[in-house]
Amino acid sequence: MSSEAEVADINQDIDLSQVDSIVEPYLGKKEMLIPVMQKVQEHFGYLPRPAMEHVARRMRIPLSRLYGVTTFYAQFKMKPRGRYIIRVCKGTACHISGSPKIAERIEEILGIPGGETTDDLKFTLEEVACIGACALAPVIMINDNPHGRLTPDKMKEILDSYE
Amino acid sequence: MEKFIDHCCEKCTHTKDKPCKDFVKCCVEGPICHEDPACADKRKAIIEMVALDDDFVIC
Amino acid sequence: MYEKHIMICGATGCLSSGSTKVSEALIEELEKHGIKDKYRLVMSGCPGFCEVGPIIVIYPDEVFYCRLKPKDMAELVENHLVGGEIVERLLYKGPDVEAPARFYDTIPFYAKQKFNVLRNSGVIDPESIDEYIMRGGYRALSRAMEMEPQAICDEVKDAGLRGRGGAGFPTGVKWGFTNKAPGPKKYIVCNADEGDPGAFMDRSILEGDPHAILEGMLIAGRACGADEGYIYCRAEYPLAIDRLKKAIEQAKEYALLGDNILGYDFNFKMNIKEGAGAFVCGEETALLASIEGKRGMPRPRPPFPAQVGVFGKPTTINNVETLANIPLIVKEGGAAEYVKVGTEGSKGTKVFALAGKVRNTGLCEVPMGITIEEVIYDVGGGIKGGREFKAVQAGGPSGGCIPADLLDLPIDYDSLTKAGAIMGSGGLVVMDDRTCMVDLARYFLSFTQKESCGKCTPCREGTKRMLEILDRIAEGEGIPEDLETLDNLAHNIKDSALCGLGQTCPNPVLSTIRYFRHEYEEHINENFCRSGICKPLFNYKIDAENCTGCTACARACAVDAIKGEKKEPHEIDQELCTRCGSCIDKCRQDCIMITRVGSEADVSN
Repeated sequence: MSSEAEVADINQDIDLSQVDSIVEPYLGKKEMLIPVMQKVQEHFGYLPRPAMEHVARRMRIPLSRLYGVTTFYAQFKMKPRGRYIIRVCKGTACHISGSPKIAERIEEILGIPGGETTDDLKFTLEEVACIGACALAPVIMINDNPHGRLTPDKMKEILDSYE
Repeated sequence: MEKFIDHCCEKCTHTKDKPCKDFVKCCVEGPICHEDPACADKRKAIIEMVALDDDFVIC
Repeated sequence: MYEKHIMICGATGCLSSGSTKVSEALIEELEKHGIKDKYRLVMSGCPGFCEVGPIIVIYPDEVFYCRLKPKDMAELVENHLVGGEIVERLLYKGPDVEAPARFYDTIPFYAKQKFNVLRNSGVIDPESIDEYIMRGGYRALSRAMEMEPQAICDEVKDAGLRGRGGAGFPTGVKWGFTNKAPGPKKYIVCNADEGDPGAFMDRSILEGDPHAILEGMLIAGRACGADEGYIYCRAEYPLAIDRLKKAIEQAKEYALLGDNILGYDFNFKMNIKEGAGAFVCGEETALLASIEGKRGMPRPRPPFPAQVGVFGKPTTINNVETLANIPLIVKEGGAAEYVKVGTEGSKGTKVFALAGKVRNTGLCEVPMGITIEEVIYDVGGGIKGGREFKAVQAGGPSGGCIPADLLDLPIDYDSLTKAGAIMGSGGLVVMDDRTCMVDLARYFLSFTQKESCGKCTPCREGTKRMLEILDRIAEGEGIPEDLETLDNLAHNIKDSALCGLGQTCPNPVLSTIRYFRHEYEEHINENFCRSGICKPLFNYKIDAENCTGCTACARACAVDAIKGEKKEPHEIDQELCTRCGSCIDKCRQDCIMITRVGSEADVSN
């Protein structure tokens, strides 16, 4: 988990000209706030505070409202995330096929609770409502790679296979 | 003519700016605005490339 | 001309089980033989049978190969494509067939299905508008252009189409409201924010037949007098979004979108909005707020979206599957055909995502009125591992469970509602004796609790209190009055919550109490979870008589709680055991049992 100080350090390196080029086509279109923030997050991997402030200024949206929107939606992250995003499917089929045990084992191996990132910024552990690969339950996605029909004892090997 | 939107010959009147009302029917059963067996064959050729079996086309 | 068409399932289910690598191996083999040009390879939409993916269907032979591995491709190419011999080894085999089965006519999974909405899935290249047109696509739109808007609404109403997203409101009536609403600017919104955990019907339709959605929306636009549409799609569905974008580009090129569509005085602009991960946005007023770039919070109705919708304009919101039905109804002679399938109050078919402890997981489309039993046992092939059926959850977090003694219940809107479940969007999650109903209720409620937007108190606070009680019961701290309190809270929330999410979220609790009260009571009064899920309420125990001492369980145990000599019965140290269940998955003798804590009696496995 990154400390507040580290986050502050990272935030100093935010190149706001990149934010400008993202926000430019949407000036005056307040209804496009969510797509703009999606693009900002796609660029930085998360929503750095200076970038949020900049978007708020450029789009003439109060920062409080922008913050309200970004914290409402699960997709938006306010902290830097790992190189590999582990998404544990919490769909019904996965749940009754044992996804809680899979999540527990990953938490043990990585030493972080769900929603957090490892200190080395390698893995972020998240939940997802359903990735729709119910036939392979329980399923996790690591970045874009699905791993299905899991049992807790397979997890170590799978995580180790990511460099 | 590789796609239905391509003109089969100069006689075809369908354009993006002035589309024919019968365009959809024309794709499969055309040509409608003129008669030319060769133009009909061009449409059939497009269909034959991808039709999985005899029941594929639904009019 | 191609000699054969090779349809490789490129939908998310098969992609997850490795269809990309299979396809690469296939191409490599074809190139090795120098025959690649003779065959057409298509990454097709979903043929539904995800359980046995990756799937390849070869036409015109109609041979269905399944559970494919890249290394199988050499044999498939050499024997089938070159040699003309079907590779029996790769055909569908299962306890429900005597001999390896070739395709639709012989695979039991498909026997009772009726393809309306999934008519093109797996049959066409979803990225080709030409193929959609060959299959009769956009003919309904052409016909609708010659009709009066109200006549289109009436036709859809008379066909008996009801919304497939949950509540089952008659679609034609809904359109009529928007059509009659005053004002020149109106919108059509496609709700593709499929958020029910365990449901993936809409995604498969979007991935497999995107033009059907566009055509449905265009017809809705014509019927309602709308000239702009939004497709609000979950960001977790990148392939669906990609397919939609391509379909929109093609439709523009073909003058089926844009200005003066098909030469008529009818314009339509199509937009895609990606959701950002909020379940409540499936609720229509929340979805509208989200399209406008705001927090996705619902608002009271009336005014209904048909009067005040997106950007304050009259708006029709339809679900993906509803829209996919539209071209079938509006095409020439379609309505008359359409009403032949289904029951009096529920016409047509319904697509279900069949998942959980059922043998054949996947997507199926069945006529309305079919029984739960037929879906689970005939289509679904029964329960995995031959275990005992306990219940099926219909309608996800807004729905309810249906127990074994209601297996003959016909699937239609009214029967399901009467039984305490709902049609919902179409997730059917099958549960066996290893599923704890208290845990299930807790699972759904923790989901809705997390997704509650927080605007109205009954939902925000009420679900929290209910969840606390369920947590307590699962921890073994339940008290007898809990059931009454739960029931009370549930009814209060149902009566007073602002939106559909809040009003329906107590359903899983109510229905599990209604049908599985004894399980709750067992948790509360006897501190026992017979399904082996609620960890403080059971122990694992090895049945010494049947244990062969194979050591599989001991090796699987992460905390070394299982002791015993090789070939001698093993034993579990209850102090060390974390009840992770790794051992039970590995035991080949099925001799790890679930027992009461501190007791040898009441043993069940």
